[in-house]
Amino acid sequence: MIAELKTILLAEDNANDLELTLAALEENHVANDVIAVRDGAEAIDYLERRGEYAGRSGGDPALVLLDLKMPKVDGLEVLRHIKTSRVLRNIPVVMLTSSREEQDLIRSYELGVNAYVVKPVDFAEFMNAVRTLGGFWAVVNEVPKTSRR
Amino acid sequence: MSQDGAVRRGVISWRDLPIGRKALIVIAIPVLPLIATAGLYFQSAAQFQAALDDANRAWQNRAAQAEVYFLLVEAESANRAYLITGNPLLLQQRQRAAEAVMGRIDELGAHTRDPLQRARIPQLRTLALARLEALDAAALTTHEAMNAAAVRMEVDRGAEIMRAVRAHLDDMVAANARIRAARDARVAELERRTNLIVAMGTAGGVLGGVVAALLFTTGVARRLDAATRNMVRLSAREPLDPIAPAGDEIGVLTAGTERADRLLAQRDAELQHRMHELESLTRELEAFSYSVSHDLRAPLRHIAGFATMLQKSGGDRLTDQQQRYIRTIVEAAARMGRLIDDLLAFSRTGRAELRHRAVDVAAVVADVREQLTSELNGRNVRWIVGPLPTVLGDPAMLRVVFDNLLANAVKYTRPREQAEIEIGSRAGEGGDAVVYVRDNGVGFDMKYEHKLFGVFQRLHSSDVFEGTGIGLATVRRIVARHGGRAWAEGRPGDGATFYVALPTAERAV
Repeated sequence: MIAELKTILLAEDNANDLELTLAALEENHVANDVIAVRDGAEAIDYLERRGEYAGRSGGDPALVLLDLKMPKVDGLEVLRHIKTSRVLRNIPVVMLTSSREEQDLIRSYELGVNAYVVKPVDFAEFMNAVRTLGGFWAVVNEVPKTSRR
Repeated sequence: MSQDGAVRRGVISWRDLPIGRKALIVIAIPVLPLIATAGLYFQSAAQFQAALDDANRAWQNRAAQAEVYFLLVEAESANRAYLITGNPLLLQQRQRAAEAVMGRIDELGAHTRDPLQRARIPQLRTLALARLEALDAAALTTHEAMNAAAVRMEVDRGAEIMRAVRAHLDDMVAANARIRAARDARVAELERRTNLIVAMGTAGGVLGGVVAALLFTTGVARRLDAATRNMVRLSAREPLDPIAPAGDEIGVLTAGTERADRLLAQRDAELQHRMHELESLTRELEAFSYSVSHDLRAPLRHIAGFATMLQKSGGDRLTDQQQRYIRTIVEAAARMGRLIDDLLAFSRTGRAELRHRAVDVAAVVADVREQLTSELNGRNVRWIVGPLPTVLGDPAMLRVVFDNLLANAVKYTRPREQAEIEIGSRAGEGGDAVVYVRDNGVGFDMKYEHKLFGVFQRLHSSDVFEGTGIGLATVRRIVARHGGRAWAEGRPGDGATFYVALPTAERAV
């Protein structure tokens, strides 16, 4: 298996959380290219190649990491958009959020999320989780070749 | 109160009379006419009897009148026979007849009421006496001196008197006939009258009964029925029929029922309002907890995360002291995270709806034990699990209970070479089952037993045994919500036993 250069789309509105997540991803050499967006609208723009991402190069991301609570368009909306789109729905989506509330879990799984990870307070644990996530979804996991590259 | 209502505007309303008085009136209506009828009847019957007696007496007088004549004739013929034969027995016969005649006339005198008739009696007496004296005179003439002329004279004289007697008696008899007719008529009339009284009395009684029944039905029975139906509707919380107010006991009952209905409606409305308030409060609390679970954790993550990154970036350049400072920051953040989790769980146990299922405690305990094995880290733990009951409750909540209890047992037996944890059960009161978890850990002093289950209460400091002090509070709250009880026994250094009483299917529902 060739480890290709994979892109990860990370949607996170909180600057501190963003920094920590990026640090964790980098620490574990998970992916070369992490695209960070600050809200759900930007995430959709990126995926649909419109708005400020109109005509961008590159294929679909190998993994989308979504926070739940974001301004403008929240994580669940982005998830719904991805999983109901014929061209996007094969992209693995992982909820990376601080909420352990049952209703958030239920709603996410109903919309077809691939995984739901609660951000632990302990940073070492968080690093572990990110490593596992990235290692699996961005490296080991296979997606159909019909996804745009 | 009832009298005022009854005598409104000077008109007494039947409906407003007290039921006791109504009852009296209802009874009186058929009874009084009957009593009156009885009185009239007895009076009429007495009159009838008197008339009958009068009629009988008239007959008797008639008989007596006839007997007077007959007896006079008897005396006459006895006398004549004596005159002819001279037999003294015949004189006695004549004497008896004479006495009998006078006796009869005395009877007539005593029993005749009619004044005209009474007036005739002295004459009758005179005539009879005359005849008898004539007989006597004739008899005194001894039969030796009897001659045909004397006899003829006696006979003629006698016949004259007898004619007079006969005529007089005929008058009396005729008068008697008239009197008897009148008296018979009166008897018949009184008989008719008596029968009429009985018939009318019966009819009056029946009519009175009907009227009484009607009055009772309208005044009491129907109204009571309506009031009762309203009361039934009240207890079924159905709308009441409007009933006209009244001043009697049924009116009071009706008014009371309507007041109770209004009160209940008011309470219902209040209850609804409170429930809405409670529901909105619960929703607020839910939103609050949700917020907490999200927003409080984020800064904690940042504290822990950036402190760790600080440590990493500092590396060897940091002194031991500085490393310790950073470690403290991270641990404090982690501890706060655990506190938040425990508090959220505790608050959830108070809010969430309890499901009611049959929960196999043995299965829950086995599951919890399996989850705890990772924490055992190769420690020597001996588990003794006895038969465990099936209880009624919320599976998730009960899992939290046993999770806490077993985790505590595992934690506080850490200093022991071999930890012994026994889980068993026994029957409790009122259909409950008591499950206990006994350990040979560090135990506790019974004088702090009441503090054990308090929120954030701990009997050991955190560097000896970690913990937030909310586990047992959660256990107690969940068990209490199931209608059970949680308590503990222990001795310092000699282990502890924690008991929970939980309802089973046997508990009276």
